[in-house]
Amino acid sequence: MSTYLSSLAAAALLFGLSTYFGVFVLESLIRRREAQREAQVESASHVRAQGRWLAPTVWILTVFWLALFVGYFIASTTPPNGSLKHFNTRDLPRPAV
Amino acid sequence: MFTHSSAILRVSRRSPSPSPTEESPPSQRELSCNACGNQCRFDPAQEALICDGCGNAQVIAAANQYRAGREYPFDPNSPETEPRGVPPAQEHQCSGCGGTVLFSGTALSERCPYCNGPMVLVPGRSGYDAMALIPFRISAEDARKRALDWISKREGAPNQLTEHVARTARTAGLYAPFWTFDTSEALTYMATWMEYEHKRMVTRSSSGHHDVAFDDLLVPASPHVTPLIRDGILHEFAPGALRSFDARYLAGFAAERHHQSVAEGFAFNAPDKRLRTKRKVCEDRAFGENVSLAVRTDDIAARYRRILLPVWIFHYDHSGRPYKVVVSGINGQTFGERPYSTAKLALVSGLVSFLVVSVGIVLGMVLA
Repeated sequence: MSTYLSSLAAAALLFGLSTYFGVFVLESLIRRREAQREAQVESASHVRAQGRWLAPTVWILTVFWLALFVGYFIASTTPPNGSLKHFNTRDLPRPAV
Repeated sequence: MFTHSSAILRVSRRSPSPSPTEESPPSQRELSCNACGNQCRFDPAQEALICDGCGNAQVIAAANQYRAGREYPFDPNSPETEPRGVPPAQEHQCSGCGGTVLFSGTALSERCPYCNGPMVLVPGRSGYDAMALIPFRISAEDARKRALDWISKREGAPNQLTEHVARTARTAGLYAPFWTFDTSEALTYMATWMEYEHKRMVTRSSSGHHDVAFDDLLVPASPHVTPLIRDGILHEFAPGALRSFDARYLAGFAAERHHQSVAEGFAFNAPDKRLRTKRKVCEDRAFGENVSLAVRTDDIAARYRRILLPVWIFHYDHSGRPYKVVVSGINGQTFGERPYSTAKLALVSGLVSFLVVSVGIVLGMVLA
């Protein structure tokens, strides 16, 4: 049960972090597009200021692979019949012998 | 905005010799209306000195244009011999960015055209005089319209930004100092790159000699001329539009003098020039993008001009941060800084994140 909830929490955290960093990625994307389209940037200083590591493909691919992993984890920790009652019985307290 | 008041004047000086430092500052008589004696300002639309008092227009007769096209040799290995011009009695210096400008004619501002910081009067420093300039062709009203139009088309900008800028922006017309350099360099290069060969990554290299020439390379002659000003609006500089320096074109505008020697300018702009040189070698030798290139300059010949180029700068604040939009005084090309709406970007980012995370999770569950 706790593993299952952890998976859901990981999905929510991934969504939150992705939204947070996406703001910077989108800002960088707009800035770079404006610079390329309108300023035809040439100087070293201006190019360096663009921040290549904030490329949208890096953002989307990273989030996608992490989500894939989280999805795989959720599926592998969900009980086959969909009932959480029998989920991961190893976590349940053992009866006194 | 500029306030109209008396001119800051310098002692007039004229030299008959065609030396590199032949600029002469505007005298009181040159900038006065010949009808009523008031101060005049240069009007880009009419290309004339206009008197705001009586409306009289004095057309600026085309001066001898030989100096506009003339370039002067520079040898990096020889000592500096270029004489400095006569320092003005007073200059305005910005307390924020340190930029120094002269206000000619009716233009006098308490704010720095570069950064909008407060300006104070300081004793004038000796500098190098400009040889040519391109006069303002875009009027203040036209520039303002272009700046607002540029801001209104920004993606992800805060709501009501255009109205806010229209209400609060401060306009400054400035002649910014530049050099044009013609250089011819003999280089030795060494290039290395990686490529696949029989499914293996191998390192290749090439070396040799190469000649690189630049014609009328535009280089800022002041640290206050930022990449925003140079790359944003002046990369389509046309040397044919240059005119011999005439101080009357400066009437009503701020101007910064050249304070760096040619050698200092060469050194200051070395990183950008190295980048351009490498790019040119890569193009000429058809190297790919992923090439590591080392270049050594064996010999260099250079010719230069000191010029002034016109630019309108709009300063505005948003959420306590200063921004500026620059409009070329030559062709009206506009570029600038702008704020972003975090709420709008977060909304788009949230939607994209939701889609990507959903698809990733579903696919992960299917694969499991």
